[in-house]
Amino acid sequence: MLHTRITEGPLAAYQSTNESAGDGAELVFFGRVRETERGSRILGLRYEYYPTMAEAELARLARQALEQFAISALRCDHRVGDVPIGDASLQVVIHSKHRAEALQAMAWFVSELKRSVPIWKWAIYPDGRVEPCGPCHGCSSDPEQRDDDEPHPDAHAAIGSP
Amino acid sequence: MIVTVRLFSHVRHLLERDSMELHLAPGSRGCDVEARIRALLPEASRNQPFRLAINHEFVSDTQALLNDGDEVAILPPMQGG
Repeated sequence: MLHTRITEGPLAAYQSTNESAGDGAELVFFGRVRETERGSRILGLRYEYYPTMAEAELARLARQALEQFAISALRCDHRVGDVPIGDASLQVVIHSKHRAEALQAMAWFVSELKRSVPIWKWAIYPDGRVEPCGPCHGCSSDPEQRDDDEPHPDAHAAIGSP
Repeated sequence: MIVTVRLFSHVRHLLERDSMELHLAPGSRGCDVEARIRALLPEASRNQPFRLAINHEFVSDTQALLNDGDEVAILPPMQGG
């Protein structure tokens, strides 16, 4: 079973249906919005995405995970638009016969999603600024290496927010 | 020919727009669009890494030839999740 979706508005929390008697592992991952960005407090994150391509890449990644790992199901919902602190922006559910496959597939899938699905974060600050998060000049482009919460050396003016 | 360029994240922020049309000579390639966009950025931002997509597909070869009406996306490092 494969399900991928990019959607605005709160994600409906996954409810286990216990339908697959052959699977001993059901792994659920939520990615939630932290309260700080580059060391500064934020109100939330604004997720920008590239329509059509983002949906296609997410679906492609899910198909690849099903081929590459011994898992029986993967569902992924990614929220876009404004997401307040504490809300989930990402929900991934993986079923497999044994836990190891689900854990490996989850680590791979989330890492690849960060690397290759055209989605970007903008921080919404209490003073009204909305600025792109993460790396820019000279920062690591590897999502596994960078720390998005580290104070950033290059503050931009508040212009051109999505 | 005319191509539409889609801009995201830092590039969108710095150029204060989410898309633009570029007039290019016939035979232009993906790398020509990338060079045009980099030239518009402040000098300190010109070397940041991008990936390119043409008509919603990643291109590994920036020498890919463009056609009139193509959509080229400048993709800074992605940050989903």
